[in-house]
Amino acid sequence: MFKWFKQFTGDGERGLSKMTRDLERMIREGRHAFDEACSVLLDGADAATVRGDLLATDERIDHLEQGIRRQILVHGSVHGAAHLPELMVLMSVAKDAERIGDYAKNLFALTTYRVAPPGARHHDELQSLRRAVSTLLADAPEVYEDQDESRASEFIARAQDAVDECEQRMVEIFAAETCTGHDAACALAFRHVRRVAGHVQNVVTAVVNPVDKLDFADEPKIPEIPEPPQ
Amino acid sequence: MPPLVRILLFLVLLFLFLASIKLMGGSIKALGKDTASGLFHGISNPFAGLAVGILATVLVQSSSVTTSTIVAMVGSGTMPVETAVPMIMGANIGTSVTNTLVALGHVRQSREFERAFAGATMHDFFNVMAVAVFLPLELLTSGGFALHSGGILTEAAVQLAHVIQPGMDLAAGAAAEAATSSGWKSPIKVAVSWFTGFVQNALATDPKHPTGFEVTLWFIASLGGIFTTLVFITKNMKKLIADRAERVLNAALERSGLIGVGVGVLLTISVQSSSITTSLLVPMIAANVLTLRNAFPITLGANIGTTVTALLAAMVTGSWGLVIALVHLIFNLSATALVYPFSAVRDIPVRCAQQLARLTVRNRLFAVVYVVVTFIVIPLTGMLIFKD
Repeated sequence: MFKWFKQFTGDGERGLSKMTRDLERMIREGRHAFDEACSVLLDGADAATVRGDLLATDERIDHLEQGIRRQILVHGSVHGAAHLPELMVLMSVAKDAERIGDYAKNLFALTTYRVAPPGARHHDELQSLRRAVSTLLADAPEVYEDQDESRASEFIARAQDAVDECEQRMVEIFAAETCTGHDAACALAFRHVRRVAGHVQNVVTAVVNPVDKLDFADEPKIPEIPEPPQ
Repeated sequence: MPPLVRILLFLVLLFLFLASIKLMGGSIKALGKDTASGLFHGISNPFAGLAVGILATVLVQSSSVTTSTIVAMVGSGTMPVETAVPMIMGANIGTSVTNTLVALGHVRQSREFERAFAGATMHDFFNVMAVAVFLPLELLTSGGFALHSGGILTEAAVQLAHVIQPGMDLAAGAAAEAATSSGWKSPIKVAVSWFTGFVQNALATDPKHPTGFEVTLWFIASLGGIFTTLVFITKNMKKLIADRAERVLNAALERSGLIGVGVGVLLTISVQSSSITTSLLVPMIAANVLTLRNAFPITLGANIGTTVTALLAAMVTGSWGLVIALVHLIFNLSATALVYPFSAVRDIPVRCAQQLARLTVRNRLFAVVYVVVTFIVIPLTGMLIFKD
């Protein structure tokens, strides 16, 4: 109990810093989940072994998000509206970080279809995107922590490249003359990777965008509808 | 503002608070014994005293102001301790109006409001329960002690006061106590006395024989001083300890119990206001982040922590000031000891508050009626009925 009361007398971490640390942990856990899911999907790792770890990781991510929400409420009650914009940003980006874990689970779910083992169609493209997105997830906590706008802008551009490439791959699959079940599953995989890149991009846009502009970085584009043939 | 500056500001404000207490004692003494006792004659009935304690606290929205004013009055020897005990208990009830008003802010969301209102009113129910047990006990046991006509709480406080200040002479009156006090004096008391003398000199042509108008000026200055310094102490300390308070509250969300009582005590001592502590809990309870059962011990701790203000005030008053401050402490400790250890008893205020909140959600107007009736109509009626 006395150790517990040290929280009142010790210097400890300030509320907002603690929440930022927790958000960064969420992204790191998200990266772990993403890498694990991809290892089954693309490298043929043992699904049964990964499944348990993936679920536990996702649980940790959810727990961290709930903790951030509680901390936001306590911080708001104690400090009033002094840090309202920061709290709103945290609430929003924590949701994005939580979704990374969800999409990792979605990717893992595709293993039922043995999506793209080495040598299969789309394997190389997915592998390349996996590396790019995993690097984005590894860099995101530091970029968020730094709050350096130029670094964040560079990160957002890299994330946008990944998003665009996923989009391009999906369009290619849908536009192909023949589309097998394997292709459809790969299209889904590209979509899930795209969403992971989009959510981590959203987290970092908080560095450069005001509260009202958050969450729009990964807005899906609606293609122009071609003129009907005369 | 850097923390060191805030700490210095707190010390200055505390000094001004103690000076205000001293000035109030001086101004009441200057009224003369007959006039002063005439002031409190109407509330010698314990139920009238209880009602005055509630009303005064509701009016100033701070039990610390009420209790420290009472300490100043008792310490100066103008208010009998037995008159002050019910008033102190009334202050406990009155202070719970603030968080109930905070809960009204959640009125638009049914579920949120139900939780918030229950979270706020469990404090009311606990305080009423405590008074319902200890006021009759104090009255039933009154008159049997050598030094006072108070009851068992007062006697316990007298005994404790003797332990804290072994050389004190409670049998002598406050005036005699002031006249005979010699030897080592606390530097705080000396500094406060000097400053109070300076203010009295500034507000009166002849401080030894002030006019009625001048005494009124002293009294207004002291009351304003107590109120203002406590408001600023609370604001300053809230900013100084905000980060620590946040950490402790975050930790208390998931486990409370005795730790919760400790959190309530620490937070309230730090901000010198139980209303701040209990009001902080309301939004967390409303959002269901903090359960009623985890919040309840923090509320009990807030009741105990708030007694420190009166104890601080007693530093510059006569010995009876210390006794009434200790009555406040013993009353709240005893109420917690009576209610907290037994889950069946501990659940009573929580269940009553939940039931009341359910009724209130069905008709929101009932919340306003509850506040007005409990904190204004009943005490006002009680005061009119029981006034001598």
